[in-house]
Amino acid sequence: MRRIHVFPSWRDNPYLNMLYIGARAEGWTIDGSTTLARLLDILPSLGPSSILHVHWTSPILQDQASLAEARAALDAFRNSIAQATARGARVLWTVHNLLPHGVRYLEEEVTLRKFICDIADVVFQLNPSTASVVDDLFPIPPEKLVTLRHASYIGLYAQPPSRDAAKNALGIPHSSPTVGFVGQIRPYKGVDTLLGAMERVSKTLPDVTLLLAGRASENGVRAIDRRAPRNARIIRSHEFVPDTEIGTWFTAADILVFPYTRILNSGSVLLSATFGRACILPGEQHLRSEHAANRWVSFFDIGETPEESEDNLSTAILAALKGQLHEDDARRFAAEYVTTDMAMDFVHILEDLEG
Amino acid sequence: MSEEPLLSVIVPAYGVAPYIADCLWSILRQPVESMEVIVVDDASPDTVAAIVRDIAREDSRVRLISHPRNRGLGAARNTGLDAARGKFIAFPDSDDLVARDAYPRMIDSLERSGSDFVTGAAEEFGKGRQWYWTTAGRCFDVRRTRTTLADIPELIHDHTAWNKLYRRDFMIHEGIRWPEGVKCEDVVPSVRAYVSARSIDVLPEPVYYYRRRAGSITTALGDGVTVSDWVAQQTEAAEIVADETDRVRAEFAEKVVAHELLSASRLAALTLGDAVLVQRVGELVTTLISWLDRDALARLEGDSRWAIAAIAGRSPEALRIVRARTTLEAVDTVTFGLLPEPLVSSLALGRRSPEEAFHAKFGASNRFSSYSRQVVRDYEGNPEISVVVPTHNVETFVGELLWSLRRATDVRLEFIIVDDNSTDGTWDIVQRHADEDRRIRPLRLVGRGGGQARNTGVELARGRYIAFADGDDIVPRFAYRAMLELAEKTGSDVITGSYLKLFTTSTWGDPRRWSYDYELHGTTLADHPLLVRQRTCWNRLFRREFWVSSVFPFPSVPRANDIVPMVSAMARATSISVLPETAYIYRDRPGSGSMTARLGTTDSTVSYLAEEVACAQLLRESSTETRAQHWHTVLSVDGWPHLGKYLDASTDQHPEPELGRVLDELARLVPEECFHAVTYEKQAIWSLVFAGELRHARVLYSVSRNIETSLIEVISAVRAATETGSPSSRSLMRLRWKYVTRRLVEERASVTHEIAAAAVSLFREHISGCEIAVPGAAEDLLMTAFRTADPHEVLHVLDDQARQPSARLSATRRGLRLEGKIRGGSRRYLSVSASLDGTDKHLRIPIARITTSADGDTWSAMVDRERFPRPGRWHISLDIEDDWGLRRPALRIAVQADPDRFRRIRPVVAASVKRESAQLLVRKPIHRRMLGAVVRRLVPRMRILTVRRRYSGGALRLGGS
Repeated sequence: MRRIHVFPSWRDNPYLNMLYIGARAEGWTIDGSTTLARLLDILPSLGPSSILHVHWTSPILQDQASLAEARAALDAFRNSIAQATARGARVLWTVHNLLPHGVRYLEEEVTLRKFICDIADVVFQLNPSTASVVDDLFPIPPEKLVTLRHASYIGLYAQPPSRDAAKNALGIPHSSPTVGFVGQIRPYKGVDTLLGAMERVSKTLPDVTLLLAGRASENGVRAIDRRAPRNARIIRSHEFVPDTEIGTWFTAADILVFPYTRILNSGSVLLSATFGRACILPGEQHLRSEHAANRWVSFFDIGETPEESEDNLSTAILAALKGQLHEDDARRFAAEYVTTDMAMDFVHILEDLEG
Repeated sequence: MSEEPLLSVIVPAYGVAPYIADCLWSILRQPVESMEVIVVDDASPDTVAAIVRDIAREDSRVRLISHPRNRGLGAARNTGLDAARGKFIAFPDSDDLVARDAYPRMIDSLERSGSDFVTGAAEEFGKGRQWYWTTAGRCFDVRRTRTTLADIPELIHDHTAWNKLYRRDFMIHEGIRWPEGVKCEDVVPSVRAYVSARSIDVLPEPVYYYRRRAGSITTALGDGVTVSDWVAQQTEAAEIVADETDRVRAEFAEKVVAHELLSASRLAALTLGDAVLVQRVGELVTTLISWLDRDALARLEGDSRWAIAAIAGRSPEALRIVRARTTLEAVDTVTFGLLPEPLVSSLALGRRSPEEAFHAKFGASNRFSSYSRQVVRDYEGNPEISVVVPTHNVETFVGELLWSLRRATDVRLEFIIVDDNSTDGTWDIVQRHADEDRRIRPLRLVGRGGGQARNTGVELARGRYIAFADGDDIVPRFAYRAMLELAEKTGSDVITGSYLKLFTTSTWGDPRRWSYDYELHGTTLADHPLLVRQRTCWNRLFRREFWVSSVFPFPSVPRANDIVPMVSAMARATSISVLPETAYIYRDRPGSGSMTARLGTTDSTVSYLAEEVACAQLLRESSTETRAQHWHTVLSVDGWPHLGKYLDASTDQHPEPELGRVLDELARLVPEECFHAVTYEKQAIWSLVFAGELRHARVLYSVSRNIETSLIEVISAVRAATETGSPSSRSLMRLRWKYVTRRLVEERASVTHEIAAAAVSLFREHISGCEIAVPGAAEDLLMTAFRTADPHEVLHVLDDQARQPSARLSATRRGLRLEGKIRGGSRRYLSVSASLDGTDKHLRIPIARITTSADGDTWSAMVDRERFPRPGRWHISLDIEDDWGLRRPALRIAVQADPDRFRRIRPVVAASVKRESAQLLVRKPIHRRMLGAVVRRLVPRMRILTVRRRYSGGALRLGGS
C-alpha cells in the first residue's frame, strides 16, 4: 500500500488537497497528523512504501513550552524519523520560509532544518529563489532540491460575482477606488503598514475604500481599530471567510495589497490572480525576480522606518489605482498553472522517488 | 411456597452488586399470579449475596442458592433450572432489566397459543438506546403466534436466553440445558430450542432491556478465550442447523459470518490466535459460506468478502494483511497463503487465480504503477475508446479537463466535445485544444440540453468502447487504459470504476459504499446489488454494441438525466467488471454555478422523482436485494437530499398537482419491506410527503436537523405521520419516544397544559409500545402518566421540585441517621443508594435499607460506613417505588448540626460541607488517615525542593518556609 503521511495536515487550506489529488487518483493513501505527539505515534508505522511529507515544521518546536521541551521534541523527532528512514520510509520537505514567524528557539530551529535537509529525499521549494534565500542558514543539497510551483486556485472556489455586484454586496459605491486585504491577519502580515498607507491615500482619494477580510485575534482587532484610517471607508470582517464568499471580497477590490515581510511564498497572490485582480507586494528581491514579467504585480520598497514604508506603499497604491491594472494578465497567469498541473508534477516526483 | 408457581425466574449472579437490586425490582414488579425468583450466586466476590438476602427477607418469592465456587453462567442457569418448579421459565441476566408487564404478556401469549416458547424484542441501554441487534430484524416488527423457524428463518438471529419465556416441560423434554465452563453459552440452547419447538410466539414490543457496559461477557468479544469458545459454540450450533432448510441455514450463516465474525475485536483475536484456532474457524466459515444464498452474499461488502475468504482460507498471513489494510499498518513483505479456488468463486471475488486476485486487492504493488508510459501512438484508424464530453459554460474548468484527457497517451482515444450553446469562452478553449490535438472532435449544438448532447456524441462515436466525462471534471491519466485493459480481459459490457470527489479543502472517496473496493470480473447486478446505487455515467466504460442495443438514451430532463440510462445498463448487462482504482475525479463546484443550486425547485424535484419512478419500473424483474438497494438509494441517499431541498425551498402546504402525481406513483411502487427498512425519521417524513402533508413533513424534517420547532407542532406532525399508516409500528414508537417524550423531559419547565393534553392524546392508544423501563428515567414516569389520560399527571411528573425528596442527617449513638418525610401518594421507600463521584452514575450501591414510621409519615435509614467500598465523594439518592414505578431522585441532605460533631463522633463519614447537598464524603479509615497526615507533612517540603530545582537552572537552593 503506497502511503503519504503529511505533517501537519491542517484542514482549512486547499493547498494540500490540490497537491495530492493526482496521487490519490493513482492509488496513494493520504493521511496526516497535526501535532508532534501524534506524528511520533504514527512514525513507527511508516515503512518502505511510505512517504513522510513534512509540510510545515512550526508545530515541532514552536508549540513547546520551554527550551528543554523544545530540545526534547527535537531529539524525539530526529530519532523517530531516523528509525522510519532506516525502515525504508522516504521524507519530503516543503521549505516555506527561512524561519517560523516569531521564532522561539532559534538554535534548535536551525538544527531542525539542517537535519531535515540532511535526511529528506526531496526538498521542495515553491519558487526558484527560496534555496538562495535560506542558503546561509541551512543549505539545501542541490541534488535534493525540486521546484514545485504553487498552482492557482482556478476551479476550487465559487465563480465570483462581477466587480459591481461584489461592491454592491459589500455596500461599496461603484465609483469608490477599493483596496483589499484578504487573509488571516497576523503581526507579520504588515497590516499596520497598510493602515498607515491608507491614511495617506485617503488624503488624495477621499472616496477610497479599504476592505479587510480575515480572522484576527482580539488584540489584532484592537490594533486595527487604533490605526484605522480616519477618512477612508473601511469594510471589515474578522470572522472566517467561507469558501463561497472569498471571491466576492477579491472581486470587490480594485487592487489587493499583501504587505507581508519576510515571506517566501504567498497563496494570496495566487488567489488574486485566480480572481483576476492586480496586487502590490513588498519589493523584496526574490519577489521582484519571481514576478518580474507579471505586469499585474507591483511593488513598494520597505523603508528604514515604518513611516517610510507607509509612504512608499501609499505611493504604490496611488500609482496602481491610476494606472492600468492588467487584470487579464492576472487571469492568464492563473490559467497557466492549475491544480492538475501541480498535482501531476507532484505525481512525477513520487514516481522518481519510487525509481 | 408450597404450590408450583406459574413462573420461575432464574437469575445467575456474579459481580453485579451495583445492578442486581434494579434487576430484581424489575422482576418482582411483574404482576404474575405466582412467581419464584431463584438467584444463583455463582461465588460472587462482591456483596451480591447480602443484597439478595436483604431483598429475600422482604419478599418471600426470592430464593438464594449459592455455588461454593465459581462455575460460570451456564452452570448457574442449570442450577436454577434444576431447582425451578414453575410451568414457565425465564432466564434474565442479573445486570439487566425486565420490561414492565413483560412476563404477564409472554405468559398470556403462551397460554393462548400453546407454543413451546415466546420471544420478544429487546432494547439496549447504557451507551445509547437502540434495539438489541439480535432482535432488530424485521421479523420482530409484528406480533406472531404459532410460527416456526421454517416459516420465519430470520428468527435464528435471536440467540439470547434472556428475552424468552420457555415452557419448563419443553426444556426438559428436549434436554435443553446450558453448556458449562464456556462463554457464549446462549447460542447452542437457543438454536436447539428454535429447531425443536413445534411452534413459537414473537412479541414486537420490548420485553427486556439489556445493559451495555464494559466488562460484561458480550462486550469482551475480543478476549482470546471468548473467541475460542465462540468458535466452538457456533460450530456446534452449525451442526444443529445443518439439517434445516436452505433458508434457515443461509440466515444462520449470514448471522455468524456477517454480524459476528467480522467484528474488529473478534477479527483481532482470531489474528492473534494459534494455528488450531485458525484451523477450526476456517472449517466453520467454509461450511457457512456454502450455506450463504445469493441475497445474503449480495449484502456482504467487498472487504468483508475478502476477510471471510482469508479466514476460510486458514491463512494467518492473509488475515493479518486484511487487518493491516483497515488499520493502515505497514505490510511490506507479503507471502500469501493460497485461498482455495472454490472459495473465491463462491464469494464472487473475481475470476482470476486466487493469489493474483488477492494480490491485486491487498498487495503492496499498485496497478497503475505498472503501466508503461508510452509516447503517443499513431492514431490512424478507429479509436479504442470514444469519450463523449457535453459542455455548457464551463470556461473556468474545461481547460483542465481537456489537459487531463490529453495526458492519456497510452490508449487510442477520441474526445467528442459536444458544446451545448455555451455563451462564455468554453467553445474558444475547446477549439484551441482541438487545434493542438487531433483526437479532439468539437461539435456545437444549440440549446438541446446535456442529455441530448451526450446522445449526439454517442451517435458520432467510432470507438469500440464509449466513455463519458463532464466539462468541469478531471480524468486520471491511466483511467481509460485501466478500464480498457479490464474490458478486454473480461469481455464485459460495462466497466465501472471508483471515483473521487474534489471539494475546495478536501477530497472524498468511499469505494466501499458502491462495492467498488475490489476488482470484480464478469459479475452481474444480481450478484452485486450494491452496484445499482451508483448511477453516474462518467466513471464507466461501455462496449459500444451493448450500449446501442440495450441502454436507454439520455433523456432531456433538467435533473438526473443519467440515472435511467445507467440503471438500464447495469440491469441489462450480462457481465459487469469493477475497477477499484480511481477512474474519475468529480469536481464539487461550490456556489451558484453547480447543479446542486437548482435542487429544490418543484420542476427539478418532479424531474428527479420521475426518473426514479422509471428506474423502479426498470428494476421490477430484478432480484429482491437489487430492488431493496434501489429503494434505499431513493429514500435514504439520493432522494433524501432532493426531498430536503424541496421542503426547504417550498412553502406549499400540499404538493402541486404534477408533483402529487409523481409522488403517488412512487408511493405505489415502493414495497412495504423496503419502506420499513429506512430509518424511522425518513419513514415518517416520506409518509407525510406521500400523503401530501407537506407542512407536517417540514416540521419533522426541521426536527431531524435539530432546528428549533414548537413542541405542539411536532406532536401534531407525529400524529399525522401515525395516521398515514405507512411507517412501521416500531418506527412510530421510536418517533414518539425521540421526538416527543424526550422533548417533554428536556423542556419540562415550559410544558403547558395544552402540550400535555396533546401528548396524552397522542400516546393514549400506543402506550404499551412506548414503555420505557429504565428505573428512574423520566420517560418511565411519563408513560405511567400517559396511562392515566390526565394532562395534570403529566405536568406533575415533569415538576422536578415535586419529585426531589429531602432528608436530615443527624448523629446518633449508633451512627449516622438519615430521616425524611413522606409526601403524599402511596410511596414505598426501598433504600438509599450511592454512586461514587466521577464514575458511571449507573454504578449504584445500596447503602441502607429504609424503615418507615408506624404512622407512615416519615422514613429513616442508618448509614453504615462499611457499605461504602471506597472513600470519596458519593452521590446519594433515594430509591422509591410508588405509582410511578421505581425512580431514583437525588436526595437533598440537610445537616442538622455542626458537621464537626460528626467527625468527632463518627470520623469515617462526614456530611459534605455544603448544606442541602446530595453528597456524602466518605473518609479514609483512621489508621490510613494518620499515615496520610504524616506523608502530607513531608510532601510539601519535597515539592518545594523539586520546584526550586526546576526553575533555578539546576542549581539547588535551600530555603526555609
